[in-house]
Amino acid sequence: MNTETPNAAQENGSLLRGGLKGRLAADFCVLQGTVDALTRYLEQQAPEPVRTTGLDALREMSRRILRLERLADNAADLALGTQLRQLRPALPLELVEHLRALCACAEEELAACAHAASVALRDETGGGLWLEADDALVNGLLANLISNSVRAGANRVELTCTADRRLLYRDNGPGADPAATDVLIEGAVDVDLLHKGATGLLMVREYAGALGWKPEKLEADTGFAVAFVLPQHCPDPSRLDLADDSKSREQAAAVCRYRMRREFFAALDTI
Amino acid sequence: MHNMDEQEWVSALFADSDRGQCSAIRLYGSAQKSVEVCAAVTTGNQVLDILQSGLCPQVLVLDTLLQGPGLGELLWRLGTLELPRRPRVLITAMPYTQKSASRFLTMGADCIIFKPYNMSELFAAVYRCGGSTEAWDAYRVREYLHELLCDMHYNRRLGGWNYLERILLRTALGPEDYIAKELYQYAADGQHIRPGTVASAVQRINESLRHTGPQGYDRLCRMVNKPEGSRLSNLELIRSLTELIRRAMGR
Repeated sequence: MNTETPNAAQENGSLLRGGLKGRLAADFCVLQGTVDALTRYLEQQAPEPVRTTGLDALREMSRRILRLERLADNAADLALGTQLRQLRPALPLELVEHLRALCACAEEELAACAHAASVALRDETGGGLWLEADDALVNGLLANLISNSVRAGANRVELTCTADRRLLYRDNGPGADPAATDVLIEGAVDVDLLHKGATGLLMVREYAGALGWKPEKLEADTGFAVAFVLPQHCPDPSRLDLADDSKSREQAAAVCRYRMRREFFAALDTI
Repeated sequence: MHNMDEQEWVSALFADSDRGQCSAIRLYGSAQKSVEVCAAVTTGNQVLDILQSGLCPQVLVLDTLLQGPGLGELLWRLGTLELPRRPRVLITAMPYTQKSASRFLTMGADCIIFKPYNMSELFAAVYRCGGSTEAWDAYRVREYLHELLCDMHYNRRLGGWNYLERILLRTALGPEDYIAKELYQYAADGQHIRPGTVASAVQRINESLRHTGPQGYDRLCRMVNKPEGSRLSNLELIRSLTELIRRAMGR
């Protein structure tokens, strides 16, 4: 029988709600689910012209839901601030392999929303780079940086993992406003810049802080560039349990794809 | 030839404490044929009542926030029921609760999906959880075809979709060599129609797609190395759709 005391059960219940982000996800899930159901129904059952008009309206609702979901999620991450780093435990992660999959996924998702750009990875580590990190934060950080680059007009992004445990980010866009770089490196927010947006860069800084990655200026002749100094602590790969957990890897890949899709679709879409 | 299109359906009982989600599940369920939604209920007790009344779905979809009783107790009580076969259990959970939600996997649940999911992801997860590997491949062919044709604004009510679906199940999952005549015959088998009827239906779809989804049609042209704006033969249409579906499935 259930051996949990009422208090323990209550505590577990609140853990299962997933806090602010969980509540937002639950509401967006119902909204999107209802739109999906109506879409499927209209596709198959409705006569013209109700079908076309209805499907157009539902498609528009889906786009708005995706945009709101991204905004709400970003706002929640900003509101949580330092709490962000405690949401999920940092787990051992081989960064080069993770980024290789992320780059391929980012290219596909950019192409899918008609913003073809190359997202390349250079591995200068000579054997990979192990660290402890929450992969959701890594995905969020890079999704924001890449969508910023593409929105600014870049069509090439290059990520480099170096042997001295740094991640370099470069694009071939017009380069960043110095105030924007200050937001990222120093956390100094310029009011004029805030009026133009800049929440993406604040997010990147927040994610980097939660990961323990220190943003630094990176000189570049053209385009936008930033370096992240990664934590020195390196889990020993020989002591990790590296059982082939294909289910959880599949799930991690699906989560990464969803993050990219939502970010690019919502940030690069013009309504 | 074995018919690959004999559709295997999966029966599922859904439980989510959010009434809105249950309504959406029922409506989505009524507009597709792969998953039979036995019921969508809001409490753990309703799940137990339904199972005790003799209904035994292949998959139980249970939300972690379910109350009366909560999920932990519900899983325990499911283990004590005498059921003709043990249903597979799919858990739906909130994001950022991996650690607390994954403990249910050691308490009798088989798989887990995190919110916010969309309905096609949820139903795909149910089908994958309860169906065979072959049925899952066929499911993916059907869903990709659905997505492709809907993106090209094809009106399903015009008919012919089922024949095209049967043909693509054969071309995407079967041997790679085929000729049009054989495919029409395959789609007509057991349907009390002549292969010529299938050919006309595919031709009708071909014409309709060219008008309703010109961009998508251009993409289909590129798949068979024809210039954009061309008119595809029926066999070329089948080849290009097959190639897109195979690529999407990573085959």
